[in-house]
Amino acid sequence: MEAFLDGLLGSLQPHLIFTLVLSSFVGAIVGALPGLTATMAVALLVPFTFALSPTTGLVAIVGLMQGALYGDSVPACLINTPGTPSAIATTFDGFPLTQQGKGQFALIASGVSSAGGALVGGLALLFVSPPLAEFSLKFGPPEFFWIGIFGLTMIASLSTGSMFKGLAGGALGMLVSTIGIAPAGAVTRFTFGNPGLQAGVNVVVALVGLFAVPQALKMVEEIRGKVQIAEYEEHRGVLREVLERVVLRPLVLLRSTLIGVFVGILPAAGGPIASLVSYNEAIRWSKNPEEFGKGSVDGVIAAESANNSAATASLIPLLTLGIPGSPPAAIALGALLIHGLRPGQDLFEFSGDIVYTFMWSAVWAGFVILVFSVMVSKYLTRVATLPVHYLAPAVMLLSIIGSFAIRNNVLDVAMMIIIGLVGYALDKLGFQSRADRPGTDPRADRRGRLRHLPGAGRGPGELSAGVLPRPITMVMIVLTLLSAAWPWIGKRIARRSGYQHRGSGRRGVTMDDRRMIRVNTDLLGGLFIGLFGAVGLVGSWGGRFNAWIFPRVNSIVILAMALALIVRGVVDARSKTIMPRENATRLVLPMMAGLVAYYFLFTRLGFVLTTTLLFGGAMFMLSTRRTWQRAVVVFGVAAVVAGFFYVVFGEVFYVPWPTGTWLEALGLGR
Amino acid sequence: MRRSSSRWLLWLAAMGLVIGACGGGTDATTTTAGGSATTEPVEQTTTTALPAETTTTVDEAADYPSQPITWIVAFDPGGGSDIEARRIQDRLQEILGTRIQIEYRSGGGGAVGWSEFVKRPADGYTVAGLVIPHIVIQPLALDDPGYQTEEIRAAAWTVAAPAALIVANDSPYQTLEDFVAAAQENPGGLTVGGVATFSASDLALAEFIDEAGIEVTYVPVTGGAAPLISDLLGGHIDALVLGTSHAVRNSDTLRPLAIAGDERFELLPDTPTFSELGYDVSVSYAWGVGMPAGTPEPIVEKFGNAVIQAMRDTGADQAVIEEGLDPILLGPDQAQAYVDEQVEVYTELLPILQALHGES
Repeated sequence: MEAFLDGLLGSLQPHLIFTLVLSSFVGAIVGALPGLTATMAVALLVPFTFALSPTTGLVAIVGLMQGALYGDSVPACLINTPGTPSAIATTFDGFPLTQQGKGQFALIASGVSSAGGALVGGLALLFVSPPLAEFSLKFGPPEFFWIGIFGLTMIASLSTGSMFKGLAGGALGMLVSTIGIAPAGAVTRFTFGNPGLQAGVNVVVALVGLFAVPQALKMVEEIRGKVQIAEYEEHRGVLREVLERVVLRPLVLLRSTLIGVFVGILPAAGGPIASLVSYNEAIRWSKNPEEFGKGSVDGVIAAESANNSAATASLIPLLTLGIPGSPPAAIALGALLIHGLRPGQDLFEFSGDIVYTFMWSAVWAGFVILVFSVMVSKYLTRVATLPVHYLAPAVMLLSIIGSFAIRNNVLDVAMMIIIGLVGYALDKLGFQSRADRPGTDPRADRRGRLRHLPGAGRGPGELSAGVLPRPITMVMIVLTLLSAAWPWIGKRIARRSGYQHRGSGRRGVTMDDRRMIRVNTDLLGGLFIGLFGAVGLVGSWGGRFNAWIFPRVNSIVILAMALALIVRGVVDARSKTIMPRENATRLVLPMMAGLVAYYFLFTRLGFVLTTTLLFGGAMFMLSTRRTWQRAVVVFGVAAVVAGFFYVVFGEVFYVPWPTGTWLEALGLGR
Repeated sequence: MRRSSSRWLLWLAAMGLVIGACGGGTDATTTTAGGSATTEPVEQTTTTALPAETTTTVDEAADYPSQPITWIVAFDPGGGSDIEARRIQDRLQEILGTRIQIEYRSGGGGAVGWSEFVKRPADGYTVAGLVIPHIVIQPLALDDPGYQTEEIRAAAWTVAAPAALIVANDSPYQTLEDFVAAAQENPGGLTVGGVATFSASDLALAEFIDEAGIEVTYVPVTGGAAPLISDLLGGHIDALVLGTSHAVRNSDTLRPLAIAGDERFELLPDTPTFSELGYDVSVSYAWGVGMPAGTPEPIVEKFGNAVIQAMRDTGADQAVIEEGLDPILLGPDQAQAYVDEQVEVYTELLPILQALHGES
């Protein structure tokens, strides 16, 4: 008790408050840059943890973590690109809000809920750590198996369009996640002879490709009609509006933060899962499920509060049991060990002041985020008002920088571009691209939980014994069934309450049909996605059953769905308008070519020159007035931006930018 | 010189600010970091003295290093490989009088980083953190790991952690004999967790059950040690195989039954070695640093010696014991021989393991 109060006072020391504020600020910036994650922000601290006092180091870690998890919602809301994987679900409603001109509202809602998440997570850490840690241990392989299955059923409730397309997209995401060395057995899957693919597709790279590239291309497509994403109007009292909403209907925030806490304490689960589960639950509990995905504040609240509380909760098993629940927690463990502090009972007994100071700081982190979000939201929202001919190329440039910086690997840039272009094509063909995002989360298979389920059932043939009589698995199974059946139940309820479920047909094509590209999306989509299924099936044929069963099942699902789509496309041959022909040939195709060209020039001309040429070129091409004065301006801007990123990323994050093989051959470079 | 000072100025601007907030201890940090850029001449002389023992070497390595050195970490930030680099980074910069720049190339259990590493010029300006048994077992077990063990010249091995068979504190198995007896009674019924397959855990367990002639079920878990320990404490598995460091760090909750190697571990005085009990188990993790094969010997020596010196100067050679690691401190003259030894060990072990996994 004494340590508890000492910790409270300790956490209010000016230098710790200052550390917290500054680290939250740095964390928010890192989180806001797509491709840089909370883990990377915390890793920057590693060299300092050797010299700092353990308390200061730990407080800085909490600040960076929480800051990054607020920062990641900023690009999620404003440009539909999650800053870190934890903000995937934030895009679903945050971006529609911005499109409606309520960007500031979305950002403050996200700030308030992030703060709420940090607060509840911090309180859980302070008061109920030991029982929660005990609870987390009850999650063994069978429970994780059911969590995986439960995650898959979310595809059902998240895909609002065609179920065939939703399932095919989800299976494709999981197929992609099996690329690389299999978790069981030293089998390499789908590397096509390229050792670089052994590491698999990084989840951040996949997300940046799936979100940012299609979004930028869509901006380009609509550039003639829409010069900016949204107008910005000065609003007053946004904070009050948000707070009223949260206070009057506290259930969403409360439920989401609790989900975050429970997911957070499970090792190797974490923020992305927490926010997706919480978003899914928010839809299911809502009286107006049809509002989700169209700019529902509850959607933003659910996603943003869960990931922040999960981050704090991941410290619970760390402090009580010495098990780091997340990569940042692992770094915190390092910071403790370096100072000879071992987590567990001893830590609380002999170094209670440090632990409680740390825990209290985790609570304060919520307030810091709140103040921060209110202060900056007004200015950040203006990003959405930038002219699209600047914004779209900028989003693409950020995706390239982010995907390179995550592992300093040029191959990741290639993968990001390929995933982005495929994602855009699927999007155009009517695949609900947000449905394949849970599938891209590699945990379902790569964490290997699924794989060792049979091993954990005691003795041979006791698979069912491992699954059935355990209380938590029973709950998981019920939840899974509910979640899987939800589209139908939801429809029933909606029909009874007189709500018309969204149909799949698009209404009112008013433009001259000859100037539009029209395709049979079912037929073409089936053929397109079927191609991936076929590659997957051929690639996974033969080989060891254990290592190949998962990709094989996914390939078969894709093929089955593709077949269904093709049949439907042939029987009910309807074409849908994709986009104006002129925009496709004059704008979208050149942008795609530019992306591919970037990859090829990146290593040859180096980062600065390639960026100046192509980023500048893209801005110039998209401009409405193409004068030489404009050219000077855009290429000048491009050169400055390139130089800025070269220096900042190169010097602070030690990103080894390519200097350019062609330049080196000429004796330049370095 | 201009480059390196601008670098650390930026560091100060971006990150140092965060730290600068923290009062007394902080000033010390920034001074050391700055010191690395300014105190070259003095440090330079101390190091050239070291490899001078081997006479012919001085000339070739005389002006090494004349530019920053890139240290590839083949794992994520904050992992073991990163910690071993960061631990000595500051001091190493002072000794060598140049910047050591950490570059993360993670993925594939290190394979991605090491494949990139062996393609770099063998001029001493690219080094990589190495991990045993990874750099030995990957080329042996994988179809195409992207690199071969011979393409790496080890310069120094700093710390090691013998593999240990560990149970939870409340486990009915008090000793290794208890465990063996239980396994004999119920062949295949005991579950032993480890990190992935063809890993140190997997290899050590294979070696042990082969020696003991018992049968257990191996449960590979990915995602590192954390989910594994949690599975053990939750009673989902009966035992696990990890390095001694985990047994030391989690000594409240874990009980090591036996450790690999020939000697007992300093912080685990009551834990016998496998060999004391009659089972020959040799698998041990080790962390070190190396250069692409073909790097001039004098350069390897100068760098490797500097690494060992940095371990001693910083007191890390004692501090790591508290973390459950064994400071083996093998310098450049012994480092490569250590790898060659490991290659022999694992070449023998691999068929046993493959038979266990049902592969030919």
